[in-house]
Amino acid sequence: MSGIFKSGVFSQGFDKTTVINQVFTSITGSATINSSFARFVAPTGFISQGMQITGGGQGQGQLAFGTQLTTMILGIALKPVTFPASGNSFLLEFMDTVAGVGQVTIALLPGGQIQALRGDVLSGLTSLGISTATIPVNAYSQLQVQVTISTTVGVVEILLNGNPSPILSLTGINTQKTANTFTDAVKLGGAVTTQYDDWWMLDKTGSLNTYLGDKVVRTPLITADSATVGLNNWSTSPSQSTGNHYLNINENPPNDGTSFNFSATPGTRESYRTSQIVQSVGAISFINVFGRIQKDDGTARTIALMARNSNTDATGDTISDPSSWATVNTPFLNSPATSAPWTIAGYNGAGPQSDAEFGITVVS
Amino acid sequence: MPLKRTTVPVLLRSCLPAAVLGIVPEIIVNTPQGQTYRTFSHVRQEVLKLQPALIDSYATFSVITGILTGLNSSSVNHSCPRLVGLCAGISMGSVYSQFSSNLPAFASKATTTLSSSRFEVRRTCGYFTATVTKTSPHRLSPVYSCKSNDGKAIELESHQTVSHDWEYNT
Repeated sequence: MSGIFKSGVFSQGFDKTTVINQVFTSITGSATINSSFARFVAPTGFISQGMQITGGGQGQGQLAFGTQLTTMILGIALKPVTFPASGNSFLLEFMDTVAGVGQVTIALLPGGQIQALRGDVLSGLTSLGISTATIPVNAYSQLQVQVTISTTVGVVEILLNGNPSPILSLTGINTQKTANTFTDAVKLGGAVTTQYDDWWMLDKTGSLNTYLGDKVVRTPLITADSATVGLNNWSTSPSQSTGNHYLNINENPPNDGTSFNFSATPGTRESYRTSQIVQSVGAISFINVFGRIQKDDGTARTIALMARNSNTDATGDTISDPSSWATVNTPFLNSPATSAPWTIAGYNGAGPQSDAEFGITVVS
Repeated sequence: MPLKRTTVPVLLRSCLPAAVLGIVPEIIVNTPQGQTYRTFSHVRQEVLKLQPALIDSYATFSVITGILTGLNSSSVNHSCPRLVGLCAGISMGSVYSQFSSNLPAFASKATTTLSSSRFEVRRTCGYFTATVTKTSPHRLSPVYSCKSNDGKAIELESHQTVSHDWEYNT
């Protein structure tokens, strides 16, 4: 696991920011993030946004993985605002950025069918298969796509709305357009305006390595300091009283440099509670903790993101603190309290704030 | 003075060795408003075959008779939403039956009270209430009412188990 994948997973709910450059490595054309594009209305205490890429170009927003994958699984909710009048409109492209060519493209046809193709616009496209099932226009559908890049044992499998029966299952095919047996980036956007939300990916190296199902990415607001006295011991800027440290880190979007908490002492930490998850049904696949961090001196600094549940801590991998504001993340696949997957009841606790806490500690 | 002005910001900056301005967890969890294909979908289909009141509220008596026949033969556990609505979280009831009765007689009557019936009605989650309502047009339900053995209407509480008679009014 490497690059954007940590513990084998990646998630993007488009909820943490409205800055499109914080989502993609590169972007052409017009893309906007706001709440009106969200798949679901935000429950109280949560942020819910989606992204819209204006039609007119194929493959406009590119996210580089920072690693090369022969096989992977991607899940994403998408809403074509219109159907293409003719031809097709790209929904996803699995790229080989070394060659600068798309290996596999998933496209939308005028009737709402999903098409898998080898190659891209520049290199030439070869249809691999077309689904019988269709997705609706101007309404969200969720796709799960598994691809394996190979000239002989390539795979393209597409699931719709969590149904475990694929709407398109292509195996033993040629999915390798370039000389390289990998994909190292994905592109979103196509000929028609399309909205996206609830994006997750698996590099198939971790414990989560099969379809997760139809998932939503819930992003709760930070609403309180830790329930445990002494777990918020960083300095605050502007100054906040005990119990109110969270007021410096709960902005949406982040206001880089305007309000923050800070420390240089190894072992000191901040721990925050969130809103409770309002839905009572559903399995949590994993929780991905994001921190917006910066160091402001010449000394090498490292931090770690933390999760806490039922008074039990888990500390993520050590992360180098960058000299300019940057978003870092650590997924926590299991509850620290149980070493088993998180549950909604376990996350919520007795309330009114979450029992689960998330934070940061100075490592060095 | 100019020298001091330039050094003060430098001193201030040096006190921020590791700063955090935002912590945001993303929780990847099932969609609460998903349309279909839940774990319950198979159960739901079986229920729909047996219980037209779930969504096809214009069902004919013959289907009702089918329900009772099925139940009569094997005491099948089956589910029936107490309410049908647009969103998740709406309670639904599960009906479990253990009875035998004269089904043809029941089917030929406009209103029949199966006094020998023993039902257990339980409220469970509303998860597939939402999925049901998204798969078919909404229709008004015929009147189903649950009465306890003393003839009073039953207002179900969460996880409540009640013995009662089952009444179907056309």
